[in-house]
Amino acid sequence: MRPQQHALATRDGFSEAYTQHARSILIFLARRTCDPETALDLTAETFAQAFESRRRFRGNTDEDAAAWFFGIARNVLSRYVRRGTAERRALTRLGIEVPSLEPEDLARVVELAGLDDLRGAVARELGALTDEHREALQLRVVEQLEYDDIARRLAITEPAARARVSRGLRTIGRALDPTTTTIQERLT
Amino acid sequence: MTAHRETTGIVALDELGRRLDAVVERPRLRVRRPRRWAALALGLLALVATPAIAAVVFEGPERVEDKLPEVAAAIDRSDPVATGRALEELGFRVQWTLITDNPNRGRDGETPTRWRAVDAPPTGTRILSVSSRDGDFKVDPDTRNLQIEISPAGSEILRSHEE
Repeated sequence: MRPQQHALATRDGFSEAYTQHARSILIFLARRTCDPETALDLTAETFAQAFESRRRFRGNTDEDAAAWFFGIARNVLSRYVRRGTAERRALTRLGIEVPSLEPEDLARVVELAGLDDLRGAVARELGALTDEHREALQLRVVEQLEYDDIARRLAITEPAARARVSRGLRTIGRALDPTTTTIQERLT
Repeated sequence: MTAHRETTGIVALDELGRRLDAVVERPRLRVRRPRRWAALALGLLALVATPAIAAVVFEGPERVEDKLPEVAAAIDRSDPVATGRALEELGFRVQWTLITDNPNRGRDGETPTRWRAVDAPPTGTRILSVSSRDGDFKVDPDTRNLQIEISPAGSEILRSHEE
């Protein structure tokens, strides 16, 4: 049993924790979505969910708080990748509109997240894929076709379509973040 | 409400923070734990009340282990392999996520930990948490898909959870 609860459970404590961690969460999400606007939407939902459940936070250090925020962000991101849209349930419940990113903000997030480098890396990896993998990836990710449709379009079996998409995503996922396979895991 | 906020350095994030500060939460249906004077009456009520009523009256436990006693009985935090085997025998499907300390934590955009899905718990790991497949601790009794986070013994994240 923990001796005392972190200040995060209080309103002021939450506000301070937000200021401390919001930027890191935004950059974390920007690196994984490659889109600052989407990253801001997901950041907003992350903190809305955290705000709603702040009294359930059981940690007692700032590191625990960071781990808790990132855990929620990870789940929000995972649902975004699975569904293709940013969830806004907690934001809606709290009645919060997400502010828009002004051009200066946009440039700052792109810079902080190193998105230009990241986009370059993705473009390089895409260019290095074989034609068949790139085409399968295009049909799945850009055109959002189901695997049986991809199989028909490419005149291959559905397992083969899944395998091509999976390999393509794994290759690009490694370029984005060598320590995780999140994108590949979530999309296949 | 805080009179003064530090800034995040990003205007939209600061604005979002102010909007969160300004939220007035709608009151939730929540019955607090009974005062001593009411305990006897509630105790008597419990004699005739169904478990469903009790669940409404009292705030429910938050951990998966509390909601699913059979999961609690199967968990051996020091032995994820045996835990996984026991849970599978009970009909649960387990997805393993390995959490390790991030050596770059503290830098912008760097998480305190790294994670990745693994097919089975590596040797030398301990159980960090048990949740639903979506990472939610709120589960219902019919939940059969679990996510178990494991971490190497001696890791910072494990120490902070086991303190």
